[in-house]
Amino acid sequence: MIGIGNDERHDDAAGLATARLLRSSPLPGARVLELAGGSVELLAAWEGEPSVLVVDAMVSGEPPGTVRRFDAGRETLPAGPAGASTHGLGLAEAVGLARALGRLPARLVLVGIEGTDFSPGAGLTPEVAAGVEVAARLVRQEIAARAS
Amino acid sequence: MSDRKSRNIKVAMLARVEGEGGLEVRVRNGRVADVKFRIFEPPRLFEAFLRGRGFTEAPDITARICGICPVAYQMSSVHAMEMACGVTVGGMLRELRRLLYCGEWIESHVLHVVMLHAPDFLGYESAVHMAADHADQVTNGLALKKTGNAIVTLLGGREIHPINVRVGGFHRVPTKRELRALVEPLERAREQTLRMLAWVKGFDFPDFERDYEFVSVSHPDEYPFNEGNVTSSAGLSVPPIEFERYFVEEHAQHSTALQGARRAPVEGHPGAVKSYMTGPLARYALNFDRLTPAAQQAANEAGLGRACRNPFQSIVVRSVETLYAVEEALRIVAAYEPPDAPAVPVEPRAGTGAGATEAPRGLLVHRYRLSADGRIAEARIVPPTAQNQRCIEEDLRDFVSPRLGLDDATLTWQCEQAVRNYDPCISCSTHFLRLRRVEE
Repeated sequence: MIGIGNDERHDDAAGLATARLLRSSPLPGARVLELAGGSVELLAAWEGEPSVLVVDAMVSGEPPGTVRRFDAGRETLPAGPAGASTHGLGLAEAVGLARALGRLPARLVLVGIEGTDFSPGAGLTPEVAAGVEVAARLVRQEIAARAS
Repeated sequence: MSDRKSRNIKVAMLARVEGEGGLEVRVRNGRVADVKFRIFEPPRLFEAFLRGRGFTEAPDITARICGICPVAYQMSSVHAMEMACGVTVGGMLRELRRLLYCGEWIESHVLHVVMLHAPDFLGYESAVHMAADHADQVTNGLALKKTGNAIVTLLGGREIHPINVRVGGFHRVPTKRELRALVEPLERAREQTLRMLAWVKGFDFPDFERDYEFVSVSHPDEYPFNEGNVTSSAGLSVPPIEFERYFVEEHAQHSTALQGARRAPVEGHPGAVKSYMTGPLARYALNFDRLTPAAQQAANEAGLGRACRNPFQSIVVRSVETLYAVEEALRIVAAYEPPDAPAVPVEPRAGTGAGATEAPRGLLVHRYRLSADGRIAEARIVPPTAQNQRCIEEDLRDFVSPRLGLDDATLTWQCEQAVRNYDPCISCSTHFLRLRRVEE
């Protein structure tokens, strides 16, 4: 499980917060990572892993805290605004790049948590913090389903 | 083909975390009337937040200016502080600083060469689009970049925004065994760099050269990272503390970043200035003799002379510098003996110090004035992209003029490519520009 985001950009930290919540109790058979979200680092992180879940903040127009699940093997991830991250290559580009290079994990699930406040500063808005709990439960279910 | 005598090619960049920038070429009566490269650069704000902070905080605060070249900010700040405090850091600690810089150059250069600039030459709108057709080179580049990341992670304490650098040295130095683990990936990196070079040297480069004044740090015995005079191809060679006597930064109405320029007083115009270029082409031209023999040979085989004045070939020069960084890293790792202490003690005193080091995209100058208790009274940071702005505008003007017959789409593509020659911090994504065409 990879949580991505930036702690200093309010709701952008939703993926990191999910990773930390998942670490708070045992998650058998899974490894939890926190990353800033650069595509090259994502590709390196999931290299050789058969099954990967990535949790990130998203902006899709849904109400804040909404959690959406995408199966990267079956669906095309909607591209975000260009240049939203440093040097511009984010999660959607990482998935595109991995697909082009034949380096997608056999199973790659992306979980998006709708954010609303991406201004500088720490702390999630309450709806997004609630979304983090929903996302963490979803990740636990996915991992448990795969283990069984 | 466009037969319009007047047109306005305007390229607006989408806003991103680092700020925004764009480009506008105004054509009147079949001639380029005006070129503006507009950018926003955040470092200006940092100079204000640094005031009142302790001298030891500068490397960690300024590292946050850039996620791609935090090491450069750390290095220029520690050198400036050490000068202000009258301390010199030598021996293995100095070598480890060079090694850390090698890691950053490898990461940053390879990202730019493979992921951001190569798609321009091969006609793809992004690295993602290019990857399917050039999977071997993209995979090769990603593996090479990973070795750069491994160096930064080991010496910097983590991959992004390293935290292990301090005034006087490091918080922790690596063991011999930790550094030995880099040998094998670095040996592979040498081969990977040669593969990257073989690829980029075959690209089609627009026929374009300008007579730049090149400016970089220069050292008598080594290719520059951390130490040396600020040197120019026009014969200037001054210690970093004198930088501001010869170079200025000026406000331009169309840019929220200050524009760097070289003072060039002439009779009747004591305030006259001119552009200069900093970055890989400048370092290469001024320091060719200090490249390793293999890097010199690779440059010769790629068709570069001892100086390269075609900015589009910067992609080749970056690849040559990557080879240098890999070989320099191997040299340092092979000779490494852990120093007795991870840092030398540094006691603050009232004074001023300047540091000039070579960020991947060029000269980065820091100057600090400290009060007797070690608080920062004044800070000045001159980043490479600010210095290159005038040069970028002049490149665009000279490049566009003989190419006005091209359609807007082609011209815009080539203008973006010309901006990306500089790997500017604002050029963060490979697909960021929008064309607006205005009939005058």
